[in-house]
Amino acid sequence: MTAGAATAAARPVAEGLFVWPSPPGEARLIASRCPECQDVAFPAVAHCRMPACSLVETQRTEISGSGTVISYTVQRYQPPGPFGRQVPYRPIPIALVEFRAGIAVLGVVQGWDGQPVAAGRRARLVLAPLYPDADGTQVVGWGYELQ
Amino acid sequence: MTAVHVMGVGMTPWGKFPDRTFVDLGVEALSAALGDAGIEWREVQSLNAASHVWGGLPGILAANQIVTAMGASGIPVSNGYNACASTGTALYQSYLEVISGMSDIAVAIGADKSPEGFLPQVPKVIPQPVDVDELRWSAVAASHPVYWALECRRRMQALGTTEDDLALVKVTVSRHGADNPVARYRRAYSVEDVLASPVVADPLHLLELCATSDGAAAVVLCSDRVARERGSTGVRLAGVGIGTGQADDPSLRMPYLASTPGARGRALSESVNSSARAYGQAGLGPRDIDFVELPDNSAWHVLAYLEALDLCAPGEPEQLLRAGELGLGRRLPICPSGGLSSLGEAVSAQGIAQVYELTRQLQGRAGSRQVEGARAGLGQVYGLFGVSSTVVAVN
Repeated sequence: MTAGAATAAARPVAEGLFVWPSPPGEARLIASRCPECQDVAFPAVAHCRMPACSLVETQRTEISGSGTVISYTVQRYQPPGPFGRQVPYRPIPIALVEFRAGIAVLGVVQGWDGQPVAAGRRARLVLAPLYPDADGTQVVGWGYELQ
Repeated sequence: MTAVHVMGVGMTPWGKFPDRTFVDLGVEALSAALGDAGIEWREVQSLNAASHVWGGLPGILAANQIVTAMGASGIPVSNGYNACASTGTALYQSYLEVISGMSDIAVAIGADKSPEGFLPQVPKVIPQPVDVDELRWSAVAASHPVYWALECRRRMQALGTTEDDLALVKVTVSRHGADNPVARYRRAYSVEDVLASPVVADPLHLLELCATSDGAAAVVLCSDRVARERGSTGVRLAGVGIGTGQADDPSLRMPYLASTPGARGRALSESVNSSARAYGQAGLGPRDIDFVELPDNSAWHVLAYLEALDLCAPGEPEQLLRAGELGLGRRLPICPSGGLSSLGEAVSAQGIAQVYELTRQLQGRAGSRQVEGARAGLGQVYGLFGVSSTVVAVN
C-alpha cells in the first residue's frame, strides 16, 4: 500500500520529513549528514550533534530503499493522539529499521499479518496513509513493507 | 565546606486522588518532612520544586504555589522541569545551596498528579518547526512503552533475556512493595500472574510497566551547623549528579524517531553520566552501594539500568535475578520501596520519593523491608530527551 501521489485529499504528516509529493512506490526520508564525521540524523538537523563537530552545518541526505529490522513491537492499546482516534482501534506494529547509512528509524509496519517480526528481516521504506484528518484529508507518513 | 545532611523526609501515600490538588499533596508531604526534621515552616530558608507540567502555569510554578499555601515567607524558590528527572533538579539546587553556604535549611519537593493512561504530549502554545515529541504520536504512535519494548527486545536478542526473566523482575520488586505502607500496589505477584496480564507493547505486559500516579515527597536538607545544633536523621547526601545524553549513544532515546545502533559510546549515557558524577562526589563506587532505587518504569529498565549504573556487568542482571540475588536480604536489593512498579510514576515527585526510601533505609526505619546493615544507597530517575539524576546517600 503506497500513497505517493499528491492529491487534494492527502497531506504529509509534517513538512520537511520526506519528499512530497513523490512518484507512486517511491519514498525518500529527508535526513542530514555531517560533512566532517558523517553522522546521519533524522529528522534533519541544521548542525551536527557530535560535540567534536559543534555547529558544523550539515548537508541534506536522503534515506530510501530497504533496511534491516533490528527490533519491533506492537502498540496494543489506544495511544493518545491521532492513531488512537481510529475506530475500531487496531493494534499498531512498529519496527525499528536500520539503513546502510547507520541510522535506524521508527515506522509503522504496513499490511502486518499479526505474526512476530524477526530481527534481521528486510523492510522497504514506503509512504503510506496513516489516518484521516478531522476533515477527511488523508494524512500520509512513512512506514515499512516487510520483505 | 559543609556536608549536606538529611534533616527530615516526608511523603504522601501514592495513588489516584481525584479530589485533591497537587498543592494539597505537596503541603502534606512538606508538613510531614518538617515534622520529621523537628522544625517550623518559618525556619526554612529556601525551597526548590519540580514543576507539575500537567497543571498549567500554577503547576509549572509549583514552588510558588506551595510556599503560598504554607505561608508566604519571601524565601528564594526555583521551579525546574527535567522530565522524569525533575526532582533531581530540585534536589541538586537545594544540595548546592547548602553545600555552598547559601542556605542552612533548604527544602526540595515534588508534588504531581498524572493524566490517566499513557503520558501524553505536553500541550504547547507556540508551534515548533520540528517537534519529535509531537511526531512520535502523529507519525509513529510511539508511546513510552513502545520505546522500552523496542530496547527490551534488542536486549533479549543480544543477551538471551527471557519473558520469564521480565516477569521475575516484577515478582521481585512487588514483594518489596507489598511491605511499603505508602505504595499504591501492595500485592506480591507470581510469574504466572505477570504473564497472564495483557500485553501492552510486545513483549512487555501490563504488570511489567509502571502506572501513572498522584503523590508528593519532600526532603529537608541542612548544613553541618544546623545538624549539630538541631539534630538530623544521621543520613547525608554524599553526591547528587545530573547527566544528559551523548550523541555517540546507540540507545533509542525517547521521544526521538531514530537511533544510531552502531554508535560506539555507552548506552543510556545520561544515566551513566549522572551516576558517575554522583559516585565521584561521594567518593564511592558501585561496589560500595548496598541497595538501589532504580528508574524501574518497566521490567526492562531494571536489567538495563543495573548496567548503566555500573552495578552489574553486561548480562549479569539476569544471572543475579534468577539466583534471587536482587531481593531483600541478598546481594543487591533492588527497589526496596517497591519502586515505580509499586508506587506508580509521578513524574515530578518520584526522585524525592526515592530519597525518602534511602533515608528510611539508612536510618534503619524501613520496618519489614529493611536492608540490614545498609551504609550507602543510590537512587536514580531519568526522563525523555535524555536527562538523568542520581543521588547517593550514606549514614
